[in-house]
This record gives sequence, structure tokens and C-alpha cells, in this order.
Amino acid sequence: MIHVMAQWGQLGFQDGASPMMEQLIFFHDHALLVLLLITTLVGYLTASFMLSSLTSRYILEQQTIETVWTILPAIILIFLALPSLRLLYLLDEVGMSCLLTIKATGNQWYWGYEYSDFKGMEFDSYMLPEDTLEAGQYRLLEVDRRMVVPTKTDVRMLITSNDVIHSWAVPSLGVKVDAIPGRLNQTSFMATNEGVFYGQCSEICGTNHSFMPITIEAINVDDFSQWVMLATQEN
Amino acid sequence: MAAVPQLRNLLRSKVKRDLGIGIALAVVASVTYKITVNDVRIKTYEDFHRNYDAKAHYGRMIKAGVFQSIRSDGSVTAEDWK
Repeated sequence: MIHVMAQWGQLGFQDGASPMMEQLIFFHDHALLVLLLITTLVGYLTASFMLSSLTSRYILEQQTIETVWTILPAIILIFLALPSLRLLYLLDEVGMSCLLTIKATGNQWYWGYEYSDFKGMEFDSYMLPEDTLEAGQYRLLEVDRRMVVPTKTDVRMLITSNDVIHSWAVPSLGVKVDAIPGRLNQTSFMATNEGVFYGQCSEICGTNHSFMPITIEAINVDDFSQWVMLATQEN
Repeated sequence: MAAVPQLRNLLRSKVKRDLGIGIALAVVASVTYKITVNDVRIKTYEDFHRNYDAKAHYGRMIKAGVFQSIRSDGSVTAEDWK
């Protein structure tokens, strides 16, 4: 789990690189389980009735079955709702103990990052053009200046935009938040391990909507402290 | 004398039988999915967290030049961000 990004022919989620994304993946598995249960039952009954030649002119109503197929779906929905609400409130809880705050501003067509906890720490992040890529770098995903964060630290993200609506998304961290002009949206994440995590703008924003990626570099806390010191040093 | 075959309520009997079969099939499918997908994925993540040597992997990533903020020799740089 070094680079967490989309792969060719991928059907499922990217590997979870944060505790929240792991929980989202597990909940998705649970939801698919419920879906499989319903689909198997309904599919079998549909096929069975379609292939049968038996009919009845006298079946007009039947209170028992009506009651059963009202109560049963309600029970099934409870099995979906309870884990869903648990996860919803868990996601909401996370932002309470953030040690670092970063503001991401969407522009046409790049992201700007401000580390307001540190003086004068802000930079823009542009996609690397294809003709400047080196071997091993990923097309449409690499940027000139990555957003650097420490691992195992709750990071608060404040997301906004300078022009049109964008969306700041990093699938492996389980984050997607709209960047809306005139509004500050908050989310948080925690990178469990060191690595590089990729995302792309997720709200149509013009010609180069596909060419303003998000690249996060999660490094050791000590290395991060050093990086901040170096980045904020006066020349 | 041969037993009298069922002459009435054939559809009713069929519906009852099919409901039972359908529910049984659905439960079997769900349990199989739970065992082969859900539980396997949870175990995979548990095993990963138990066995992952973060320090060693971090060192390998640094040596391979994966990070922009850390050079291959392990020294931290912030030149690109100034």
C-alpha cells in the first residue's frame, strides 16, 4: 500500500488509507449483502412466476401476505439503517480533535492550499503536464507541489472556491467535499500510514476539470515538522 | 387405489413452496457472501494492520524517491514549496 490510486479495470474501492474509509468499505459490504438477499429472493420469485403456467382468477386479496411484505421490508431497512447511522455519526465525530488545519481553495484549474497554523505557509498545486512526467509518475494525477500531511494525525480540511464549484476528493481517505464559492465546508481525515494518495476534482468546473488533481503526501510526524520549518523559513 | 392428485389451489401451493425456496436461497446466498467477502475483507485489513512494518516500508519509499518532501537520502526538503 504505497500509492493509493485508481487501477485499470478496477471495480471496487481503492484500499482504505484512513480508519473512516475502512469503515465505509465495511458498511458498503454490509449494504451489498442486504442487496444480494433481496435480489436473490425477488429474482427467484420473478423467474418462477414467469416460467409457470398456473393461474388463478379468484385471488383478489390476502391480508396475511400483505402484512408480511410490509413488515419484512421494514425489518430489512432497520438492518441497513442502524449501521448507516452509526457510521454517519462516527464520521461527524472525527473532526473534534484535529491537530492541523488546512484550507483548500478550488480555482480554475488548480488547488491552493493554506496551512494557516503556520505563518506564511501557502502554495498552489498544479497538475504536471504529460510531457514533463518522469518514469514512474502517473498521468493526470501528479502535481508540482503536493499537499503534505503528518500520519496518524487528525487533519481538518476547510474547502472553498474562488470561482465555480469544484469538489475536493481523495477516494482512499474517504473524503469528498464540494468547494463552493462563498462557503467554507469542513471535513477531516487521518492518514493511517505513510504514502501518497491521489484524487481528482469531482465537480465539473470547465475545460480543465479533469486536469486539477489532488495529491496528498503523508509522512512521519517528525519529518513533517522539519518540512514545515524549512517551508516557513525566510530565505 | 392410486392417491388422488392435487386438483385445486395449485397456484396457492406453488406460491407457498416458492416463497420457502426463495427465502432459503436468499439466506444461503447472503451467508455465503458474508463468509467469502465481508469476513475475508475484515480479516485482510486486520492482518495488514497486525503485520505491516510501517517503518521499513517508509524507508523503502524514501529510498525509491516516492516523496517530494523527502530526498532519497532521507533528508527533508521544502524547496518546491517556498
